[in-house]
This record gives sequence, C-alpha cells and structure tokens, in this order.
Amino acid sequence: MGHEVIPIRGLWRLFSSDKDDANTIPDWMENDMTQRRAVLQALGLASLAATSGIGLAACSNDPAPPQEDGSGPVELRVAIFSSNEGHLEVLNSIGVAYVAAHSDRVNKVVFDTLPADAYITALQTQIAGGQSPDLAWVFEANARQFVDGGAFVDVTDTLKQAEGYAFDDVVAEALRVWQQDDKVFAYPFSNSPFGIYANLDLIKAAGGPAPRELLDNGEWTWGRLAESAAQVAASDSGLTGFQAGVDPFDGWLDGLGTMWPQWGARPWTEDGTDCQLTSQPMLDFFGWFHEQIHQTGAHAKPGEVFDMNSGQTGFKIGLLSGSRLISEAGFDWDFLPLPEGPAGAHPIVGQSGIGVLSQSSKIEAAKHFLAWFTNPESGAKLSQFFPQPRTSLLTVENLKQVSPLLTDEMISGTIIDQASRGTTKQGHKNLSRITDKVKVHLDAYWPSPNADLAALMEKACADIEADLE
Amino acid sequence: MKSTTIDKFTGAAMAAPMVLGIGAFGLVPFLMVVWYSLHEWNPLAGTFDFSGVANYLRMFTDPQIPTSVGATLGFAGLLMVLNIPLAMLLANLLNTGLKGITAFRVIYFAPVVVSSVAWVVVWSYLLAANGGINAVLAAIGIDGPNWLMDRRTALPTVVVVQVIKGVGMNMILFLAALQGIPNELKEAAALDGASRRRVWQHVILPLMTPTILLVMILTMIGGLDTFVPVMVLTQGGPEGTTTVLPYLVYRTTFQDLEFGYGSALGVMMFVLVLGLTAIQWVARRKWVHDEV
Repeated sequence: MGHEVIPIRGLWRLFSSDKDDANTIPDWMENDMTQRRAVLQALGLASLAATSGIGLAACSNDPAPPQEDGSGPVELRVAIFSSNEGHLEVLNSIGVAYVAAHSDRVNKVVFDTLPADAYITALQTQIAGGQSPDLAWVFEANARQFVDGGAFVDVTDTLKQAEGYAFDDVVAEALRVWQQDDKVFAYPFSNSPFGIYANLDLIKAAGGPAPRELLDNGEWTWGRLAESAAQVAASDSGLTGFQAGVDPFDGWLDGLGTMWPQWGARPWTEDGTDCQLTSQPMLDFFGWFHEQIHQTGAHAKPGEVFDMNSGQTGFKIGLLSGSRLISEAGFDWDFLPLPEGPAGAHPIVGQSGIGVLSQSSKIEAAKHFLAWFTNPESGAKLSQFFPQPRTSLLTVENLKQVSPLLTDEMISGTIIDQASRGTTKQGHKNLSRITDKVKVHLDAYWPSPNADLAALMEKACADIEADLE
Repeated sequence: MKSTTIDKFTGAAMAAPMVLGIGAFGLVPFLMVVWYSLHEWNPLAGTFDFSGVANYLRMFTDPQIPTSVGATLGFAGLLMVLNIPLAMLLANLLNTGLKGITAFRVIYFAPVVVSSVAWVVVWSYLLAANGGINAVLAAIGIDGPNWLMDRRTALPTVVVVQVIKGVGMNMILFLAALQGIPNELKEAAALDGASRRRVWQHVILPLMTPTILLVMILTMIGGLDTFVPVMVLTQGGPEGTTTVLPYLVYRTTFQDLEFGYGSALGVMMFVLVLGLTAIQWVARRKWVHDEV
C-alpha cells in the first residue's frame, strides 16, 4: 500500500458509518478500474459543464450605464454608509424629487449602501477598481484625505450659484474641514455636536452632584466631571466612571480629540506641518487623562470593556444620535455640553460630508444633484435624521424631529448653541499613517503608571515628522 | 495501463475548474499585484505613476518591516509549536472505538466551522482586562494579565485563540492518517515483541509522516497569512508587537492609501511564504517516510 499525503482512505473510514470494518472502503476506490473510470468521467463532465457555466456567466455583463456625453439623462450613484430604512426613505424621496424636476439631466439616483465598518476601504476599492460612485458620503476624519488628496472636486460655484441655495445660511465653521484655499469640496450634511451622556442614577447612587446643577452653576468642568466619575467607579467594581466616546487606547485621535481642545492643545499646527504633541497644553492634557486612569480611577483602564447602554458607565462622550439607544436603557439620563477645561469651553462637532468624486464619469450631473441634495428644502428633510449646518434649520422644532427624547433644554444648550460655535476634530491628509505611528508610543504610555510622557511624545513627533507636510 | 484519449479528456475536464479558478482568481491577480508594486498608486487622486523598484528599496529603510516580519515568523512558529503536537495528542486520544467518542471528535472539530470573525469577537470579550477569563482567575485569587494590551502577552494570546480555532482540522487529518494505518502492521510489530511505545515510534509515526508534512505546511501557511484575529483583537498593537505582514499590507494599502507600496509588501510576503514552504518541501526527504 502506498502512503498518502492526504489520507483519503482514513478520511473515508472516519466518516463512514461502519467504523470497524476496513472493507467499507468502496470497491471503486481500491480496485475496480472500470467503475472508477466511469465515476471519474462523470465527474469530469460535470466539472466541464460547471466551468463552462462559470465562463459564460463571467463573459456576460450588465449593459454599461449611460455616460455623461450630452446624449441623454444619466444615472447617478451615491455611496453611503447607512442602511437605516428611515434614512433611505428620506434619501430616496430627495432623489425622486430631483429626477422629477430634472429628468433631462438625470433619470435615476441610486443610494448605494456600503458596509459601515469597512466603508472607506470599500469605497476606495471601488474607486481603485474603476467603479467609482459619482458622489460619496465621507466621515469627517477622512475629510483631509479626500479633499487634499484630490478625491473630491471643487463645488464652490455650483453651490453658491444654485437657485434658492442661500449659501450664506450655512455655518461657516462647519465648512472649514471640507475646504481648501477657500474652495468648498464637500458639504457637511450631518453636523452634530459632541456632548456628555450622564447616567443620573449611578451618579446619584454614588453621592455625586447632578451634572445639570453643575452646568447651571457654572461649575461644569472636566475636573468636576472626573471627581464625580471617580465616585461612580469606586462605588462598584462592575462600573466605570467615564469613557471617551471611542476607545482612546485603540484610537487616540478619535477618542481624545474632543477633549484636548478644552486644554488649548492640538496635535499639530493648523496647516498640518508641525507636531504639537510635545506642547505644554498637550502634555498637561495627557498627564491629566493618565491620572484619571491610574490615580483617581475615573476612566476605564486599557483593555477594560464597559457599556453605557447597559448601565455600567457614569459619563460618556457621545453624539445626539446616541440618545435613541440610551433612552431604552432604563435609567435616568441627561445630555450635556462638553465641560470646560483649563482653556475654557471649546465645542466640538462631528460631521459627515458629501462630495462629488473626481473619478466619476458624470461630474457635472453629480455637482448639480449635490446642490439640490444640500439646498434648504432637502436640508429640512434630512434634518429628520441629520442635524444640518444651516442657521435657519438649527431650531428646537427641527431638532425635536431628530431626537424627540431630548428636552428643549438639552437641544438648545447642548445642540444648537454648540453646533453654531463648534469646530471639528483636527484631521490630516496622512491621518492614518500619523495615528498608527503615534499609537505605537502611546501603547507604551497607557499601561504604565510611571511612563515618561515627554520622552514618548518627542519620539512620536520624530516618527511623524515626514508625514506632516 | 495505457491511458486513452477519453482518459486524458476526463483528466483535463476535472482539472479545468481548478486551473481556471487559480488562473482567474490567483495567478492573474498576483501578476497584477506585481505590476502595481512597480507604481505609486493613489486611487483617490487617480494617480498611477511608474516608480520601478522604489517600493522594494523602501522596505530596506522602513522601520516597520523588521518588527512585522518578526511578529509574522513568531506568530507562525508559535502556532506550529502549539497546534501540531496538540492535534497529534487529540488524534491519538480520539483514535479509539469507545462509545460516544464521535461526540468528542465533533466538539474538538466544531470551532473549525465557526465563522472566524464571530469566533474572535467572542474571544475579545473573554480576553478583556475585566473579561470572563480574568474573572475566573480572580475567583481563584489570581490577578490575570491584560491579555491583549500587554506587549508580553498579546501575540501568544492571539496565537492561542487561533490554535483553539484550528486544531480540530489538523486533528481530523491526523486521525484519518491513524485510521489509514493497517492493523496488520501494528499486530506484526506487537508479535515481534515491540512495546506500545516502540510500535508508535517505529511503525505508526513513520507512516504518518506524509500527513505530518501536509499539516506542517498548511499550518505554517495559515500562520503566515493570519489576518482576522489581529484585525479584531489587537489592530497590530500593543507597540506593533502583533503587526503581522498581512495586517501591515492591509493597513498600508487600504488605510494609508499606498497601493503601490502595499502591493510590494504583498509580493514580499508571497516570497517569504514560498521560501519557507520550499524549505519544508526540500527537507521532507530527510524525514518523510517513502521519500527519497
């Protein structure tokens, strides 16, 4: 008997019903060449048939959608990261209304949902594969990559000259991250301020003051929040006092970028050319945050998992959209503005923008649709789900539609006031490379109670020097 | 026996799907990756400029490469060291005709058919600093480590998660090899006075060496190609200790948008896997039964 690399006979025996009888191996496998040949020939024919089928299927193709050559209306595809039925209903209604009004330009607008957790990767893969959508939603963190990298086209004139657009109604600060040299490359269709969700039941049980009282008394500071959070954490080992919105040990920029502006800190200069991680405000901020992990215990330690919606967290940074889940959690809660830090108040907004991709083959039609999609009428429809960066739409009545669970007090104080004054988190064209390189050094900082922060930040700045251009 | 035309046709027809599949989904994409690796390509900006071997030269000065290659070899090596002996042990323990033994075979094999992402997500909760495993350790008075955030434990922890996931497949292959060994050989050795240990050492083990070779090659390639557990559990951290090459290729290509350099890293990974596999293949002559 020859010895097999792949033990076919043993596998047959293992999975056959009669385990003990070696003769259960079928004759055709061992001896009968005629029968074996017949079986193999049948398999061969089946393989050939399957291959032919696959080949034919591969050769067939859907007819190419019409291109923008002036010969007729085109179809537009918009890449989005939401599969929410309510969102899609509103988006499609805007698309249908546009086609009805401009059937000579566009015959269909398709909103194409890509997986949210791998959205940018999927979008880039489509673009790299020559299947670029015509327009795309993009997270604010990727804004500089898309704007500075040339992925979006300039839409300034299209928006400013569109009939009834009221460009001056758009909050100027909201456009900043989507601009380059005063030219607008995308529109922030969602403009939502970050705030603090507070589990009032946990805070009260731990003996802390009501956060809104602190706010009303002008004492709503990170220091007071940390004191209260430490009390919550100390009250039960299954609780944590405070969590940044995104795990700061995984994503330091996303997790902490809403906080250090209140210390007057920034990771790099406005023009993105000089590292500021070694600046005193930044060192002060990281030192304070480290203290909350290792000394006061206010913030969860690296690697610990807690869930605000399960009632395990006293305070957590979040966006307006988080109110739906938290309202179902079964505890009393509040939504407050970001606290003041040593450098005072500094509201931060989270954004998503929509722009026309430079790889689209229907740029002019896409730009025209963008102006329709972001005009005041469409904005009013979108504001059911996405807070708009238009002064005329930043009203309690409008935002009540976004989250009916928020009180007027929360909407006016935490949303409207913050949205009209807030800035976005700082981004960069080479954000991914920069964050990865800095994270390597912070990985060494977080677990160690006695790490030399200044030395680590010096190394981090040296590592990202080439990427800051 | 002389093969006939119809036999040749049958052989070609059976091979056709695999040949076409490998060609269309393996060879052609690989050649395209080699072509991309000779370019600076930013799909967002629509730039695709020939750069020669610049991407390959860059690897020699990229400080991520030594760390990543070390992590990759460490991962694959540790995976083989833990997985193969454990699979062999389980296969020998389960190679009996005892009633109910099939249930144990199913239990050990079950993780193989579980979705990789689902498997790793569950482990991410178990391995959290305040997760299930440390809770069990705390109950018996042990202060468990921060499994995924400590540079000393992160890589071995991810390897163990992979071992538990994949050991069932190797176990089945070893079990099948054991079942394929004729009883007559074992009985003849026993009649000649060989002890059970000597039968195992001089009869069973040599006859299993072809399967051991297969398992070693498959496990090594699986270890060198590991991506999902790193992506979900550690994202390459802490301090880059789990940034294995497949994850570095993904990050460079799809996050940093350096498609050209990412492709060059992919080619380098291919060469590494090919080289290590070739070494195993050549070395088989020294220890695999019936190989000359």
